[in-house]
Amino acid sequence: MHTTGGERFTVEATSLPEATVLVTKGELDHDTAEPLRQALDSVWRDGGRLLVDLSRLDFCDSTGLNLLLSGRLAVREAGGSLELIGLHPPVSRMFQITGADRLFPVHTDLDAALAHPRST
Amino acid sequence: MKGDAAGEGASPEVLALAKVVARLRSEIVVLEGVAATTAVVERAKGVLMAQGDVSADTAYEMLLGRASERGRTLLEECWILLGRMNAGPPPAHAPTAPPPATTVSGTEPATPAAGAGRHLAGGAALRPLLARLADGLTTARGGDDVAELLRTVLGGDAGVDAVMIFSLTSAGSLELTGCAGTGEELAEQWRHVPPLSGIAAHEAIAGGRALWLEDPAEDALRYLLIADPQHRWPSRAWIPVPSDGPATAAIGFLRAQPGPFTAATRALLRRAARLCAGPLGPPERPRDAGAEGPRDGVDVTSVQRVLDALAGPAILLTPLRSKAGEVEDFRIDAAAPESVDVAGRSGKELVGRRVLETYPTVVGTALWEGYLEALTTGTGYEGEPFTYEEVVAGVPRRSVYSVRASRLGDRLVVSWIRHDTGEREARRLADMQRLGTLGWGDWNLATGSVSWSDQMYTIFGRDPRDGPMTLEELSRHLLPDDLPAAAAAVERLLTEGEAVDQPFRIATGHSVRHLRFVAEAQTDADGAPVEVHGFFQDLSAQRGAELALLESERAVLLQRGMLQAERALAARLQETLLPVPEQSMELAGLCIDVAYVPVDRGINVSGDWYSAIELPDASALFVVGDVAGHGLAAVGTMAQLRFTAKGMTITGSPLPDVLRRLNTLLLHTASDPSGSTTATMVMARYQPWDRRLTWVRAGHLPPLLVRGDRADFLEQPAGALLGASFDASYGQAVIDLLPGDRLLFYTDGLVEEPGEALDVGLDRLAADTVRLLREGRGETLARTLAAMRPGNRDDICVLDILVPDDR
Repeated sequence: MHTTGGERFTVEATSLPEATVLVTKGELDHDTAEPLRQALDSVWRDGGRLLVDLSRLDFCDSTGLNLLLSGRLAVREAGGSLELIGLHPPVSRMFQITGADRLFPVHTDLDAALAHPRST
Repeated sequence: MKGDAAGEGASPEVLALAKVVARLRSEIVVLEGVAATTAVVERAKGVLMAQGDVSADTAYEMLLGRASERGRTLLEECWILLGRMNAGPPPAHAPTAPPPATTVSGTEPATPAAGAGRHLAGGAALRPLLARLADGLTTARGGDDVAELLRTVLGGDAGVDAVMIFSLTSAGSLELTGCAGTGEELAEQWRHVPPLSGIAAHEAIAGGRALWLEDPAEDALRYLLIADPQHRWPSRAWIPVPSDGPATAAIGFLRAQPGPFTAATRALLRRAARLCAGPLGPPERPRDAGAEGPRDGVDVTSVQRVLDALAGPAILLTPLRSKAGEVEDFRIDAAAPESVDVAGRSGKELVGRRVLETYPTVVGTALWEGYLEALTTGTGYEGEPFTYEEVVAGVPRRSVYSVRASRLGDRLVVSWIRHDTGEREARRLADMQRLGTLGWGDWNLATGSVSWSDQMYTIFGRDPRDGPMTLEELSRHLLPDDLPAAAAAVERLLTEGEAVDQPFRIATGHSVRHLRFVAEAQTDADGAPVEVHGFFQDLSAQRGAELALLESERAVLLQRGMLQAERALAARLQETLLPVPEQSMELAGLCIDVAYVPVDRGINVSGDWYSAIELPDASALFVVGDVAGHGLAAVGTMAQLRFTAKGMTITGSPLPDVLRRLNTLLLHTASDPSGSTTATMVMARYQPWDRRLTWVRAGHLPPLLVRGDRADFLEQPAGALLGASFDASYGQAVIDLLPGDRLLFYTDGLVEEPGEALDVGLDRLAADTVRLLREGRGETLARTLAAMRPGNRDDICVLDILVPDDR
């Protein structure tokens, strides 16, 4: 499945046996966030392991962060987990200031994430 | 045979050649005229050179001299000389001396002294006529041309209505070799006159004398007259044409007015006849159209007569063959009067023209091949309609033709139909009616008959088999509301003949149509209307569009009203929810300034907020917060947080407890887990008595402290953003403020820029603040900082707190 927020932001979902991977790309803000919302909406109920790759994200504002946080809560309620891959500047700074970086398990890349057992 | 003529897609070379041919053609016409004139002059010179044994130049001088003496033009002089040459051996005179002027006139052919004369008082008036005659004779070909020329030139002044030229045949009968103005029937009647007595022309020729028939009654007794002189040509003159030996031709000048011929007229007619001796005399045989063509027994003049009787276009083509016998071109030898070619040349103008010379792009086309085949095989050729393009003086023209050709002897009779004009007109009319949804109708008030165009039936939704409706029947279809005005208009039309231009509506079966009726009445001699004709135009489409436009206008106005109401409401909401002071205010001994710039200007509030309130114990509470998202959804959350925070701090709760409560609040207000909201916040409490500031934060950006000339971000206590996790703990920090200190609380809209690291934005804020303060713009610091942000990317809220100097 591949949805776009215009040209500025895209989300690509891949289903692996161990986890569902959402790869985000571009600028995530209030106007472009819809694809991520839809993507999260369609998977959080599955209750499995959800890995969100932020390595190709150029920008993320409070809307994006909010989506991820609420996604995290929803997934947890369904018995799953939401983890982040590739959190680095500039996006990481915002996570740090808001304290959100403490709330998610963060991995450097997909392989590392898959190698690591599922965390809650 | 496919009729795709060279006109459609003729190669550029062919078209270029066609243009050259067209140009050369016009040059040829000019040169032919000059050549004809020159030929006459040269021959006259030749005659003088032979007679007087003089050089060519001398002969030319002589001609010029004589002409100027007599007041004649050069051409006239030449004609006369040549005509006289036919009249008999030249008078004996000294070979070396140029003939004296008087001798010239003395050798006129024997004409009766009845005519008074040669040098008359009216003589001067004759000159120009004879000059014209002489000019015209150079290009006259054949008896008919000469007769026509005589009639045209002499018509006005001499009253000549018709001219007939008879020649004596060897059998003694007369043949009509030229006529003009007599009409075909008469000419036919008198085409051949057997050797009877009592024929005036015959007598004139035989007697060598001019006959003046001036008394119809008397003449009728003596002669067998042409046509009834009571009704036509009450006076006639028959003048023999001077020639070598006895006269063999006579010219009849037939006049429409009765009465005798004046001396001047007689002289004129005689001289005119003398001038014609040249062209009519033996050495000057008119070029017979049939002489150059094939000897196939086709009498061209007969064919011309047949064509003259035809209604449509038709021509006779004679093939012009090379020495080897191949057809190189065709010459038009006869043409029906209604024959019109692409360039608009008609009838007689076509005769003598050569096909390829005049229409060069025909060569090699199916048409051309068709001609050749018809000529060789004798089977008729019928061509498909084709488009022909001709270039006339550089202007291309196109027409559509269908052509038929069949063989006659060794020539072709070609007829064609030109498709465009009538068809085009009819089509245009039909299109106009259809496109303008116009229908016309005629109502004859006297007879009661009505006629309608096809479009009328369409407009009224009526079956054409039902026939047209009378005006009365029409009125029954009108909508009752429109009836009075329409009836009044028609009334005016019928009584006063005033033209009508009236819109109205009719009901036709299943719909209402908007029509326009424009009509006039034609009146009889007394002014009473006898016929009404006019047209109906179906304006339903336009009217429909107009009405729709009005509707949408109304809708737009309504919507605008609604928007304005919304806006007013929003403004009130904002005032209630989050009043923003226009100017700085004073609170707990501090100077406070606020800048508030939401992204969505329409709503005036956003997820960003601030609080600056005095608490019961005289301390002050400062809050800046930012709910995730924009618009009304964020506003609701913002209101909750703001009021809760205010409530709790007023009742004395410690600041970290407030944050915890707010966190729980956010987590629990979401309708489903995926719908929760987050917010960041910074909250501080200031005690004016010791200037101590105690503060907490939840995921918010660090406050900026300006002290002296430095600006630094405060180190933050722990605390993640609100609404993120159930597990939340919040730290607290303390700072003692000094007079002159400035503290800025703000939201991320002030510093965040996509594509830029957050720290860059923070550093910029610090630098800008220091600069602005140094420039003395501290009073409007918050607003200036907010205004410096480009565009509206995010909501901005800035709280500027100044600790005033003691002094």
